[in-house]
Amino acid sequence: MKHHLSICAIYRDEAQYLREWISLHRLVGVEHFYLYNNGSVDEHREALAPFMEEGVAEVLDWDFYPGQLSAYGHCLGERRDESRWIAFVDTDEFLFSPSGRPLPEILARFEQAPGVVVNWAMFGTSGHRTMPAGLVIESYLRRTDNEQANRHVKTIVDPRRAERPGINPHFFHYKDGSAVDETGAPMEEPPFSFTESVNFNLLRINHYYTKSEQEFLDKLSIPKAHSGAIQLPVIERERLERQIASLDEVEDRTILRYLPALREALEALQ
Amino acid sequence: MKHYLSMCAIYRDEAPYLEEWVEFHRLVGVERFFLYDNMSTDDHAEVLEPFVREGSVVVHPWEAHPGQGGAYEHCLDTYRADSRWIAFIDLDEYLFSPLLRPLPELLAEYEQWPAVGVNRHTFGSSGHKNMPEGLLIENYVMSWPMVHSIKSIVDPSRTVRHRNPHAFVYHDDEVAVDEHKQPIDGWFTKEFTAERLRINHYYTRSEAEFRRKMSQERADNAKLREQPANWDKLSGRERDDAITAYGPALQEALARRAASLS
Repeated sequence: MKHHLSICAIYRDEAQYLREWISLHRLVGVEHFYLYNNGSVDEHREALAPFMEEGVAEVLDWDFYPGQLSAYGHCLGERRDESRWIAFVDTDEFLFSPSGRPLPEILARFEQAPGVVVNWAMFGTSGHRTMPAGLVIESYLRRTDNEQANRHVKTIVDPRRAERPGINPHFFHYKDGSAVDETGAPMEEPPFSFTESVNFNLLRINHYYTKSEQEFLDKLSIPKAHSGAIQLPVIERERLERQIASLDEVEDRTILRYLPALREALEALQ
Repeated sequence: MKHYLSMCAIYRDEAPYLEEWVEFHRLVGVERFFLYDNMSTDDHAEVLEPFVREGSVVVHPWEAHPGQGGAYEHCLDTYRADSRWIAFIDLDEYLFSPLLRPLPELLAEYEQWPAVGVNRHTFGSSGHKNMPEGLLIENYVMSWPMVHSIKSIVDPSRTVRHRNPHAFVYHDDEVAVDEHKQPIDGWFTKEFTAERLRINHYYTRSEAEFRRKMSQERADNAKLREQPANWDKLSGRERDDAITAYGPALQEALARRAASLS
């Protein structure tokens, strides 16, 4: 097996965030990155160049819109025998262990499972109206404590036992068995995309869902691939505004333990 | 037997929804669609053309009014030997399993009965005044308390004829069962149950579309629908987004189709 733990992700126009995202994940024990470029027009290649030269990241142009599930299917099919574990996350999601221990060490206790699901910690704007100067993990320190919001999961799969992605990016179908959460509870009940209760002491994904208010609004106005622009109905807009406000509920500095090492890693790239 | 699960439906002027409806049901395991065009004047034929070309959709022009019963009889007569199961539903209805399992996998457990009756969740305008962009299944997520009437997935080889849009007559006085394999008397289940099989019935869509629908005669009896007592209550009462789990896969299926056409 070439790699123990890899990440598969699809991105579009995330150049300003990619270096931080990759560097943080390297600090927590991710060795390799299978990246699918979904029509970016920014400087993503330049941002990724050092990692590609080092052989840590591979980029494939993936021009299907939307293309997330097909990219996941492709990655599973092609890389099954290359990585012991593949985490399927987005570039606004930071996977780590709040225990401060490396992910491979945590995953060792789940070797029997075909997949491990990880709860989200949903972060809000932390009062930033526009993109702040600092790093993501130091700028956004307020998240929600609402179980409903954090119940969603993303999955770290054993690619040899995963058959194909599910009907959404949250879950996979396995040849045998079910994915488990960090307590070891199997994910047997549909819709498979969220856990009954939230447990993120061992494994967690900080999901920087909104980043700044301006970035969140921009994200919502990205046209859906097959149908043109999204027009949020009034009822949805009100829901979203309530949601943004509710996300800044509690302070959470857990990920800051990686800040000094992350700064160092990023400076070394310059 | 060529196919395991097919669908029969009659439509008029549903061009904006046909592609999503067909593609969604292909995603949940429907192989073939017998569609009856009830005098549409929109570009329905153009929308369906790629599906017709690949053989998944068959379109029959159907000019009777009301035309639903006759179309159902024609479908039973013509395709009795073509499919193990035929689901008779409308273009504003989406059949799926809340277990997110393929329908053929579930239906295999019901083969000893002549039909399965499926309960429906009714959806309101969800705050949309006019037809919004995007997927129907993602746009309409506000529903009302459940109704106990069913739609039927029948074994055509054991089906004599249709009774009404909901229920059919089966050989040897056999009856349909609900998802818990309990017999259904008529076309209402005793208890509302939609844990394994369910139909989302997008009854109003947007307010503007609902007003138009209210001005048109029904396909089953050529009568007008009863006007709602209070238009303000059209939106729907509680959030129900179980079907949106299919959103990403449906978006991708539609995008793949669009890419293969261009």
